[in-house]
Amino acid sequence: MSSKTSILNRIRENKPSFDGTIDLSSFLVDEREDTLERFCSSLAANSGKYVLASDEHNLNEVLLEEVAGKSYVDIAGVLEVYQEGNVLDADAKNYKDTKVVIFKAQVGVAENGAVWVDDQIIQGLRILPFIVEHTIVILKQTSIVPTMHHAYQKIGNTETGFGTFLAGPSKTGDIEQNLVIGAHGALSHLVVLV
Amino acid sequence: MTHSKAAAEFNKDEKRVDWHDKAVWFMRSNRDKGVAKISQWEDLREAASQIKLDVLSKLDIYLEEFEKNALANGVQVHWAEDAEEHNQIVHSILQRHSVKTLVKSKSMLTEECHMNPYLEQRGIEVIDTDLGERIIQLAGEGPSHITAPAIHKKKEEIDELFQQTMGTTPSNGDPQYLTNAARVHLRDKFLNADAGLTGVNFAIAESGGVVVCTNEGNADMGVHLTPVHIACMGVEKIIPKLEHLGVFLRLLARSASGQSITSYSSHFFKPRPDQEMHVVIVDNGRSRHLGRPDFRNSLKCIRCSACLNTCPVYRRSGGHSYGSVIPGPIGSILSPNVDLKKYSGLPFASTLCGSCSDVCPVKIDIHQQLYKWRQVVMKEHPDRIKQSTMRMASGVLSNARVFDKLGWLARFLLKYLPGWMVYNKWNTWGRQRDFPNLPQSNFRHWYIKNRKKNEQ
Repeated sequence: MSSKTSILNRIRENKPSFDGTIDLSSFLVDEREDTLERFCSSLAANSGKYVLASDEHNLNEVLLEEVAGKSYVDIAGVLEVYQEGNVLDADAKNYKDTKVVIFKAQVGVAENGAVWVDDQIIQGLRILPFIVEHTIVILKQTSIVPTMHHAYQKIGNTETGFGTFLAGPSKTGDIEQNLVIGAHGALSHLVVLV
Repeated sequence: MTHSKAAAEFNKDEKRVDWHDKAVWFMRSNRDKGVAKISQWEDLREAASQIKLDVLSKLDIYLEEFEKNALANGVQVHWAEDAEEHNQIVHSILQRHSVKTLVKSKSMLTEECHMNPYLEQRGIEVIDTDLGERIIQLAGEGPSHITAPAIHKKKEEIDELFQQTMGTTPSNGDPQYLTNAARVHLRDKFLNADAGLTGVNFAIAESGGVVVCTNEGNADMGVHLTPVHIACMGVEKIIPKLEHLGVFLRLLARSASGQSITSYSSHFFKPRPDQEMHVVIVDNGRSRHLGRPDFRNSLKCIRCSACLNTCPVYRRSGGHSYGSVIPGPIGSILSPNVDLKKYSGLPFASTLCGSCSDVCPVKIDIHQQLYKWRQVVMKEHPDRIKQSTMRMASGVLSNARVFDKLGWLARFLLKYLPGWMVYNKWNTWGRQRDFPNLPQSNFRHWYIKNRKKNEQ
């Protein structure tokens, strides 16, 4: 008998019975209208930063200031000044010296400040949000949903190979519970709200 | 060593106990702040508990559904009866890819399987990449906590350890400096590793994907830079649907440390085009545990560590005193299933105050299970001395006349006996306690006397 068969057989023998139904619809009720404020304060609590851009021109200004001579990958394709060498490389290791990545997110979560980043957004370059020093996310204010329940509703139908909720910079508390920003991933995380 | 002996050892350094207590309580108090912000908290706990009960009741169905969907996604699925088979499977995958260096993110399951020594004996370098895990790996120790594995280490000790192992300069235990040193050291490992291994927080049956949560980003750094991703999970990590993650991801990080969500909650559905992905599903006693009606609920655990952080015994005895891979209240109800004799002391490492059950995000009746395990332990591994003491006590307490006489005798003896006759090795109660000054008579005598007075 294979391990699979014997494990499953034992489970069938031993499992309890339960015929309740799981209904999560009550969690989708959210009458608060302050999603933007909530998103910003949640993000700040995660040691992430945010900035409100008034229009496209302003967005470009904000991004240029953030990038300021650093090597970057602009997956969002929004920067008017296109830096030389900004061509996507399939080899993940080649991004080890890249300082900044800019991408657009389609979903933000008010309750925890996270944004959803998937293969489509980062063009399959899964390492990008983790290996660089600074992540910059462009998010429409109208794309902010109240909670994770709403977020999963929104992303549930899109098929992807990989996706992550990115909620702030990399951090650790492993040395005597001291919060240190920049463990293995990004040292800073900025969400530009448009 | 039993928990009580190990705890006594830990308690010799009173200052360290206070420090440990405070460090762990910090997480508990942060948890409270995080939880208070969610008005639906109790509803979320209830929903999580129900989802997990549904999982346990259809575990075979969900596991097969998961396998089918994972295979369709191009993920290879393996099944392991026990730790040995799990280690063999991982090793064979690594061997096939001629892996020399494996970067690993936190996985309590691989600790349970003692995978690191198994692979190391076979010439594979295993590098733990979570900072806390790396610290204890360099120190040659096991984790003392589920989410903060090096919580027992002082920053000065970590400083010294890094000086010896990484050649850092003395920094007086500066967390920023030490973390950065580890970042540089491990970045090199990430870039040169041949395979990445992760644990699994949740495995989604309907899509065949797995979710891994970290704050450091180490799981992603390992997996996205290497050609092979191995994800190891216990059978109970399954959840039916993607939407259920909404419940669990709201609960997990807040229960652990009060933060709203971990920095990264990564969902792996398919391997990259240039990557192989494997999921190893491990039983190792879990299906047997499922057959114990009193204890099966402990399989709902999502390893948040809230019960450790709140436990007065854990905080004052340290994770290592439990002698089990998973310490604290949850470890004390999971471990007896693995080896009742070896872990027979753990259900007693509790005051049964019930705080663990109160904070548990999936509503496991932890303190009640601790109590029930005590019954099992006493039945299967009776403690003759304790039993005869209990019989004697029951004889005294159920007989008013004997109780009265012995009470008088005790009051008399405690007054006149020399201290060494009262406090000696047979009086285990008196090791950390002194008897109070006893009154001249007991309540009954006082009552009889005073009632007569009042009636007059």
